[in-house]
Amino acid sequence: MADEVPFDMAACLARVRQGDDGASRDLVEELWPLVIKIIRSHLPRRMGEEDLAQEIFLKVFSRMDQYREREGKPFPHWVSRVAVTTCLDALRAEKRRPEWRFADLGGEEAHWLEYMTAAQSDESPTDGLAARELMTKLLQTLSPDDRLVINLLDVEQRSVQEIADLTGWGASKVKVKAFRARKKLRNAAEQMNAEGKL
Amino acid sequence: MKDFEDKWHEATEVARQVEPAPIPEPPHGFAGRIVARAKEFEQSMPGWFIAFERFLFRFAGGVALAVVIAGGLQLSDYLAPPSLVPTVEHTVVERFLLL
Repeated sequence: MADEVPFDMAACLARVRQGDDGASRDLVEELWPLVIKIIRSHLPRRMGEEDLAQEIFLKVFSRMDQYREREGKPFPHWVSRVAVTTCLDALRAEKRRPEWRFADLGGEEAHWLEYMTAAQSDESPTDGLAARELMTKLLQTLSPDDRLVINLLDVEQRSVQEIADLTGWGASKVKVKAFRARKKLRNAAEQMNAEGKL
Repeated sequence: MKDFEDKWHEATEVARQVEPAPIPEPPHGFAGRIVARAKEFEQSMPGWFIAFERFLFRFAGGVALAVVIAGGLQLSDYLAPPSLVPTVEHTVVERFLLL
């Protein structure tokens, strides 16, 4: 099997700036997995992955002159920032947030919710898929900014500094937002669980 | 005893162990479409327009700065104790009234 040649980002960018269409296509294909991964973690409900990816790539090409290599940030990092802010704008544009009820939860999701909100620590559930589904539903009850910060911090395990770089917020703003968002998350979980007991 | 935050982190840990859905290849012709649309956009914005837009941004920044400085000076004038020496305007008005 032949060894894969590593993608030379700097050379590709230089060719893109000279107007080379082939290099531009290569760049899109190289960055596609990164962009799709970000979209999947923050996707607004009524928007298709492909539409959002198209919007992100068009922004990347139209703002290419704003990227400065000498600032030391790799190009994929700059693209991640464009992708995260585009997702945040799309989330903010959503008119309504979903209202999940206890009755909407599957059996294992309800088990996770009861475990999370119980005062006593029972044996923890183990169904990862159900945990993920419940987390998605709880996160959807938060505002776009809160949802983004919890997703990046707790779900993707990014550092505060990384989130500050991605969003353009200061580190202290990220910490304050995360603290408040977790509180709201807890309230949402407790409210949902209380509904189930009525 | 574990609180909500500990249990939330436990749930995220368990959820992370689930294999994520594989990332599909970009749709056929996607990259070509993006490049064509990006070019279309670039051609619809002539070079002079981009230069003018940049100039406009800098000009707006300069105006905002001038407004802040002027506001600051105005405020310092307002806060300063009134001078005992009559201002030029006063003397002119007084002379006019004497006529």
